[in-house]
Order: sequence, then C-alpha cells, then structure tokens
Amino acid sequence: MEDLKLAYQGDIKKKNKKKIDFGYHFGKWFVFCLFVIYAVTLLFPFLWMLINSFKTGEEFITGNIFGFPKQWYGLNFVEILTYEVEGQTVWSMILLSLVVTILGTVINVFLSACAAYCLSKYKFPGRNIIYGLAIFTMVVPIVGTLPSQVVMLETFGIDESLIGVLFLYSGCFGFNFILLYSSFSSISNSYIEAAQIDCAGRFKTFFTIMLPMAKGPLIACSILQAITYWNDYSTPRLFMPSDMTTLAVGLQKLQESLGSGSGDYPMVFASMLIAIFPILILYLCFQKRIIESTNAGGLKG
Amino acid sequence: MSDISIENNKTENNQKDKSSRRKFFNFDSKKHLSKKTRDYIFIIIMLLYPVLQFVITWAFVNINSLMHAFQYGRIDGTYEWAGFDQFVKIFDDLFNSQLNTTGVSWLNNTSVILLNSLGFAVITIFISLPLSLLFSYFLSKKMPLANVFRAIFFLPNIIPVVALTFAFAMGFDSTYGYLYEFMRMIGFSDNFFSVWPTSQIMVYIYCIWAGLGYNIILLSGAIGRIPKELFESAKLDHAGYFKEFFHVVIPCIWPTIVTLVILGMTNVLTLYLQPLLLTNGEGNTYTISLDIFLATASYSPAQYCSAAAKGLLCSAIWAPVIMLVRHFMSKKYQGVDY
Repeated sequence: MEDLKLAYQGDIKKKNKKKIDFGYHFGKWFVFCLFVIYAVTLLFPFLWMLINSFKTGEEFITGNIFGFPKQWYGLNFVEILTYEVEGQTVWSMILLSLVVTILGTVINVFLSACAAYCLSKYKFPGRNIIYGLAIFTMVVPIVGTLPSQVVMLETFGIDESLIGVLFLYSGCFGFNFILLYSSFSSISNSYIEAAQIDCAGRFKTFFTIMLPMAKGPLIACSILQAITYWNDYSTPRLFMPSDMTTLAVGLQKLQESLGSGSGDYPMVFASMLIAIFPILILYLCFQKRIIESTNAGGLKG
Repeated sequence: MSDISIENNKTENNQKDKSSRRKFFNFDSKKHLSKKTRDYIFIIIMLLYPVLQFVITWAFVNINSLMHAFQYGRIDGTYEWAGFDQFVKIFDDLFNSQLNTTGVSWLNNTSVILLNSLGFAVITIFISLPLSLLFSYFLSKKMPLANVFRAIFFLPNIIPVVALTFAFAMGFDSTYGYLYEFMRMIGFSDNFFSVWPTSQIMVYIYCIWAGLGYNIILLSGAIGRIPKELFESAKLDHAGYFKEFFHVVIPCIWPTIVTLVILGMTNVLTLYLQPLLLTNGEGNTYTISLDIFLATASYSPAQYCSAAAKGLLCSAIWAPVIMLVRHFMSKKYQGVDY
C-alpha cells in the first residue's frame, strides 16, 4: 500500500514537473522570439541606412526606398567629408571630435587614476570627506545648474572654447574614479613596499608599477569614456564656439540642412554611419570588457 | 594616520644609491624631509588639480545657481534680487497659465512638462524594468545565442544619440518611413510626432526601445553572479521556475533592481536629449530638464534665473522622494547575502 502511495505521489510530481517544464520551455522560446524581434528592430534601421547610403540622392527620392541600389554609389561617403555646414566641413568636425575625445579621455582617466590611487593607498585627514563627497554628488541629482556652468566658464574667460570643454571633462570624481578606486584597492600594498625597498620614489612607483598593474581597468575606463565623449551632444553644443562643431552635434545640423532641407538622405545616412563606425570598431574589439565595466559601473551607482 | 608609513627597510647599498642620486640631481635638501612629509607632498601634488577642479566647479555652480533662483537677470548680464518671485511664477504658470496647445482641457503648457517628466519614471519602473527582468531571467537560462543577443542589445548605449534618434524617427517618417503606415493603421494621426499626446508616446516608445538593452545587461550580469548552489537547492525543494524567480532571483539581485528604479526616478529630472532630438521640442514633449537645457542654450540671463529656480524646486521636492524610495527599497531583502 505504502509503495503504491509513493509511486502515485511520484507520478503526480512527474506530471507537475512536465507541466512546469512545458510552461518554462514555452516561456523560453516565446522570449527567444521576442529577443529576435527586438534585435531586428535594433539592427534593421542601421542596415536600412547602410544600404540606402549607397544610393544617389535622386534614386532615394524617386522612390527606391526599400530595394537595393540599382547601382552601388560609394561617393556619398567621400562627398559628405567635404560638405560644408555653417562654414565647417564634415572632415573638420571629425578631426575636432577626435581631438576632443582623445584629449578629454586622457585627461579624465589620468586624473581619475591619480585621485583613485591616492585615496585608496594613502590615509590622510580629509580622505573620507573627499570620497564621501564624490559619492554624494553622484547619487544626489541636482538639476538646473546648467546655466551656472555657463556663467562659471564666462567668469573664468574660457566659455566657448575647447579649454572650457576640457575643463568640464576634467572633473574626475565619477564612475571612473569609483572603478579605479576599487581596482587600486585590490592591488596588494606589498608591491609598493617592494618598490620602496628598491628605492623607487612615490611617483615612480605610481607610474611604473601601479599604473601598469591596473592596465585592464584603465583600458576599460578609457574606452567607455572615449565613447561617451565621442557621442557627447550637450557639452560641445553649449560650450564650444559655434564655428567649432563636433561630429555628434554636427550630425544634427547635417540632418537639418541635408535631410529635411534638400532631401538628400543618402548623404545624411553616410554621415551617421561615419559617426558610428569608429565606435563600432572599438566595440567589436573590446565588447566583453565594455559590457563588464558597464556592469560594474551600474552596480556601484 | 599611522597607516601612512609603508615599511621602510632599506639596505645600506640602496641608501648609498639614493643619496648619490640625490646629490646628482641636487636634491640634497629633501634628505631632511621626513617620510610623512614626503607622503603629503606626493598626495598634494596628485590631488591638487582633481580636488580643486571639483571644489571650484561644485561650489561655484551650486552657489551661483542658488543665487540665480532668487534673482532676476537682465539682458546686460546684471542681476537683481527677486526674493521668491521666480518660485511664485512657477506655481502661477503651473496652475493658472492659459497657454494650452496640448488639446487636453485639464492641462496647460507648463503642467504637461511635469506630466511628461513623471511619465519617464512610470515607464522605466513599470514597463522597462519588468520586461527586462523577464528577459534577463531567460537569457541566463542557457538561451541559445545569448551572447549575440547581449552584444546587440548593448548597441543603443554606444551609438551617438543623434544617430539613434534619427534612425528611430526615420522609420516613422511620413514619406520614407517603413512604419508610418502601420502607425496610421493603429489609429495615430497624420503628424503624430508633432501632436500631443502621440508625440510623447513616441518619445516613451523610443526610451523603452533604446533603454531595454542597458537594463538587460545589468540584470543578466547580476543573475549570472548568483551562486549555482542556490538554484540547485531551490530545485531540491521542488521549487518551480515561478518560485525560483520570485524567491531566489529577485532577492539576490535586489540591489541592482533598486539601482534601476533609482535611475528611472532620476530620469524625471535629467532626461532631455531624447525629446529634443526626436521632436525638436514640438508637440509639447518638453521635460523639466529640456526646459532648463533650452534656457541655457538661449544664453539669456533672464532665462537662467527661472531655470535655476525650476531646477532648485524640482530637486528639492524630487531628490528626497528618491532618497526615501531608496531607503525603503533597500530595507526589503536586507539580509540577503551571498
């Protein structure tokens, strides 16, 4: 009798399990389909732009919107480089974006590393205050201070200039700081001790031992920061002189003058793709690292 | 303070080396500085710029902004005390403004800004978050092509926002858009990007579409860090997938969920690029910070002051709410540790 009961119970459990399994598998494949659809909606607009960027403006306007180009026309990518918006060629926008991105990233990551190293490896009065303030300003949103940033740069005489933008970019108590702080903390102090036994000064220890040891996190921070600055819209828009437009801001102008203005959309598509291209390369090379540090950054926030 | 000293065991040789080097560089005076002093010199040099930049920016911007909130700005760049006038004007606009292009009688052009902004918290917390939770759960369950999906879902985070909004809006363009006819079919009006509320709905759809990936990356990362033993012991206790999700996964990734809720609530105060670029400010899609951004972009002192007052008022009301939510949410599942 007992045996029968047990067997019966086992049966019910099996049945339940089957039910759950079915529900689970159904859910899984349903979500899989949703994933495919979502992925397609993310990729399709850009593939569509890519294909259309190889058409002449005329072909696009006259109705070939979804088909492949009758003749693959690659000159859009060349012509757009010399196209002028408000006295500035796209070519010069790209160069300016590169300058802003590289300088901004180097300054920001280097200063973050300096600050993070000091705060993680040396104990001194005020250390906790600095760390606490850095976290506080990241967590508490204070809005409406944008006009005051303009006033500040005007007061310092660096408004509407590259220096002003770099000054704002050099604020280093952000995610990079937190990330580098934790990675410096995890490096053992014995390396510093060993370096000091070898008579290396503090700066030498920092530059030749600690920075190379934190290479991984430093690269990750730099890539993410470079992507952020390359894409940044508001800071260059508000604080760069109007005849020095970075590509991210210039895209908006191009879209207005070429797209809505003259309807030459293939040229606009080409410019968008040019702006995306360098980032895509970076992303393909460092995809794992980028996603990992986003994870770390998001958690700490 | 005592930790400042990192053990200093120099051999005689090393000391000779160092002193000869000092002589060579003419650093003799430094010889007399104690180790602690040299530590401080190092710290000061390293932290001088970062701390100075931080303090100057933070103090200047916040003090200046606080002052602006109680001032009038004139075109010539001078300011005059206004007391609480700017705040009174905000409430007056909010409740009494007759300017209304929304087509909804109980709104006006100021209150719609508030409604739009609050909407971002609602959609991120109640639509994006549950969706991405569900997605991430399945993504962590040996979903085929999981890494490919992850890589694709992350793309919106790295593409310039101008390009992303353009790609999105192009799909709905009345002449070239591949989705325009579909939107017309489900009852949207002709120019739905410039008429409220469809314009705002489009902005919300964009934000869900572009923001889902980031949530999924964070959440599936968090789920991936849950120890496998927990899932196994749940299985031994005959917990179904439903139970597993609510009793194992949710408590374990609670801190990440709290972070995402807080981020969603912060959006109310900080989100402005998406509506600006999608609708160019047409169709009543202003948010609180878009209003402030455009005031800044106008470079007019009068607008600076009203923007500062709006920012101060909204932060003063909303930031404590965020803090409270954070506090209470963190309390739930507080003991979960693994």
